[in-house]
Amino acid sequence: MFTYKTTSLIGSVFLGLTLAGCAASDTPQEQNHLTFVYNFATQSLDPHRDSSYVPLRAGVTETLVRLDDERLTVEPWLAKKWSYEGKRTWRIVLQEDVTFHNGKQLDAAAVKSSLERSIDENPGVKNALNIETIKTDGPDLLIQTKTTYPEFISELVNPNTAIIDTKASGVTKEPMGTGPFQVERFAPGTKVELKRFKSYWQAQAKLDSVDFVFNEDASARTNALRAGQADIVYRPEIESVKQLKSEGLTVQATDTFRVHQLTMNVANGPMQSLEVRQAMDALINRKQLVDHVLQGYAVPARGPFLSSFPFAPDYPQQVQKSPEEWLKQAGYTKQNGRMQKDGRPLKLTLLTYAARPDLPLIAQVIQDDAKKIGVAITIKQIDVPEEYMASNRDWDIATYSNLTAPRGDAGYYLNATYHPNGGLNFSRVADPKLTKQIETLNETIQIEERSRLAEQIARYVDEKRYNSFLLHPSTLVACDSKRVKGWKTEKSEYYMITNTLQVTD
Amino acid sequence: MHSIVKRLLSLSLFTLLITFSCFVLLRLLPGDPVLTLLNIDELSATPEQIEAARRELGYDQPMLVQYVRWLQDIFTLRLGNSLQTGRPVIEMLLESYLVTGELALGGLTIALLIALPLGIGSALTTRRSVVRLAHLVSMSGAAVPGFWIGLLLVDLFAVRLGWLPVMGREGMTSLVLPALSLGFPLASVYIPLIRLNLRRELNQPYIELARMRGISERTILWRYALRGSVPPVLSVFGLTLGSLAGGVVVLEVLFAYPGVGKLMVDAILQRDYPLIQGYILLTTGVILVLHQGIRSLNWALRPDWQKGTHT
Repeated sequence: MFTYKTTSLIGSVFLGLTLAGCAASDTPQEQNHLTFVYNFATQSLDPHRDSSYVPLRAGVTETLVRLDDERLTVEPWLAKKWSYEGKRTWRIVLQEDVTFHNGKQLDAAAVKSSLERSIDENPGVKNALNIETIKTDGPDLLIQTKTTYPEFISELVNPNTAIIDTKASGVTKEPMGTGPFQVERFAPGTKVELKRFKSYWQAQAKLDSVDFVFNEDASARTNALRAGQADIVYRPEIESVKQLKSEGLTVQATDTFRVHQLTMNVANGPMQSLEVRQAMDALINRKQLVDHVLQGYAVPARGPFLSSFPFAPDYPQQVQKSPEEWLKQAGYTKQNGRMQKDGRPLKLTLLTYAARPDLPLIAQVIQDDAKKIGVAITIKQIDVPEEYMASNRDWDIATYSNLTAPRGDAGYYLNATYHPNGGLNFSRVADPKLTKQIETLNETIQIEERSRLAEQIARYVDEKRYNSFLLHPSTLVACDSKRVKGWKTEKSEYYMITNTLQVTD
Repeated sequence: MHSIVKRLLSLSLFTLLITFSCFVLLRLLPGDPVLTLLNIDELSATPEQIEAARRELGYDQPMLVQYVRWLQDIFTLRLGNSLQTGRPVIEMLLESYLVTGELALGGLTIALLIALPLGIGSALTTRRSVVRLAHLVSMSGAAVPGFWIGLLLVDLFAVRLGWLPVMGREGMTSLVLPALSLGFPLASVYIPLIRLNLRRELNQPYIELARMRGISERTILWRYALRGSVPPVLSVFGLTLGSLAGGVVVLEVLFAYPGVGKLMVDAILQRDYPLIQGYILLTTGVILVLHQGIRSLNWALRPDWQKGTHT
């Protein structure tokens, strides 16, 4: 049983711990050290499996090619250059004098082994790379794809294809990459402690060490920055932006490759009509969504791709018609405040899901706007949109969000969304003209020609309104810019801890 | 010996039943682990490729076949590998249970430090101020959720005063705020429980008899009254331990304390079946052991409970 003595002892121990905590927090912050708080956590640093891409984002691993943030084009990284040799075969010339963190030289055999491992470990990568064979040819790699696959090189931007020394053990806790930082300690779900890799093949990192900390709570991340316990926080709480700015901290908003869209079910129901789709598109007040739902941290979208992509088209001037006019053209008339056709009111089912909190709000705004013109919308909340939309046809429109060109090529999105065999073709678009255009794109290797074809397809999709594009949400990053130098929020969100990042005291 | 074997058999059967029902329920839920694994919202996959991946993972097999395969994984003691990370499930669960155990121990220590003096003090005294204080702490602990207490504590001790870390798991200092956030609401349950049971015990005739025999109040309290009032508190304590064993998701997320609760939420969102099944198996085991432990402790303190003669 507890005695007074025991109770006092426990009390003293706790008090001691609290005081120890206070004393420990006075420890001076290490110089040339940066603490970065990221909004996802990972339980494994295996670069071929980790869907949070932490090893690449933390500067531990590198891929053969990377996305240039200004031009949004694929640029060399561990691959110095590449060429198409014909017969579905690509030659990849590797950088010289690159070493892994364990001192082992990067060569064609090591890259082959790493790519093969990524294919074995990750079925998504296996599909995306579409590789038939990998061979070494002296210092080069010869990779043959299963089919003609022009976007092969851009698929190598994928962080899950990062190059590691596969012979090294402990890949889940200490992958042997080639990046400017190497793992010193990994606490699953908590943080990765990084130290500068002194034999980095490019300029050595300016920072001595980095703590790449995980916290999925936006208010906690914001508090860490305000308390001076973090230097950079990814996605701080939107509601705290004003307060952070008033405290002298910097908040950057950057456009991303993501698009929020209204997916139309063109297989059955009223959305089969182009005019009804046009009406829904005309109904959307994009500026209102950006200003009120996203609090200004987004840009209105006209098409699926950010306008800075080389393959984002200049869209023709739209015919300025109101939703009612489009519906009238579709044969609807307003009776008793409701849009009707052949005596049947226009009723739509709108799917939405909570995984992206702004989507249900957007759905409500659309429902409200539709009500004003006499269209009844029923909102249906679903759990897993990909699964529901693929296997059910009891809906007409859906708020959906996806990455349209995450690896710098339009082929992924156009194939996945508009080809009859596409994994994200929830609209069930089966337009022979569009399919032919996509298949032509799939056979085209030359980059400028691919961009021209992608533009043409994007314009056709716009003309047919298979989907209605709402906005591109921004990514917010807050930092203490008096201390942190060289931070840049990349649109791709792939490259975060780099060799140029530094702190000044 | 016979009764131990019988008990072990019934526990195994119970565990089998729990794991099988959860196995079936999981597969009835919406969500497809194959789509998550293929990263369908970022990477291309045709319907044929999706089906091929499903076949490769064995998710096209009948449910019973999948369950038997999972049972085989139990005997390897790895409980299979996580679909998402590829790491052995047992390794991931043990890491997370250690963190949850740390958090639970911290929270329970705080809860007892608050509840014991206030519960016992308010049962012994007739001073209204002490009783009111106990009532106030109990009510506020019950009314304010742990995460809100956590946010307030972070704002005060980490942001404004800079005494403690906002988040993370760096030794004992980072345990202080999560333990306080967990312990305060827990204490609210134990204060009235301790007070009521102790008062009831102090009014028992045998306590009166002890007083008449001249036994000191201190001995009566520590040796008799508390001993008699502990079993009901212990039973609730067992339930608390059981719920803590499942994880404290909100606090784990808020303080980036990677316990088993957060691990499970992620596993459920990603439909990581082997990890979820492993969790169900281990948590069932932990709860059964805890219940048995609490029951044995109660029997030791109140042998009449075992005989079923208590009133």
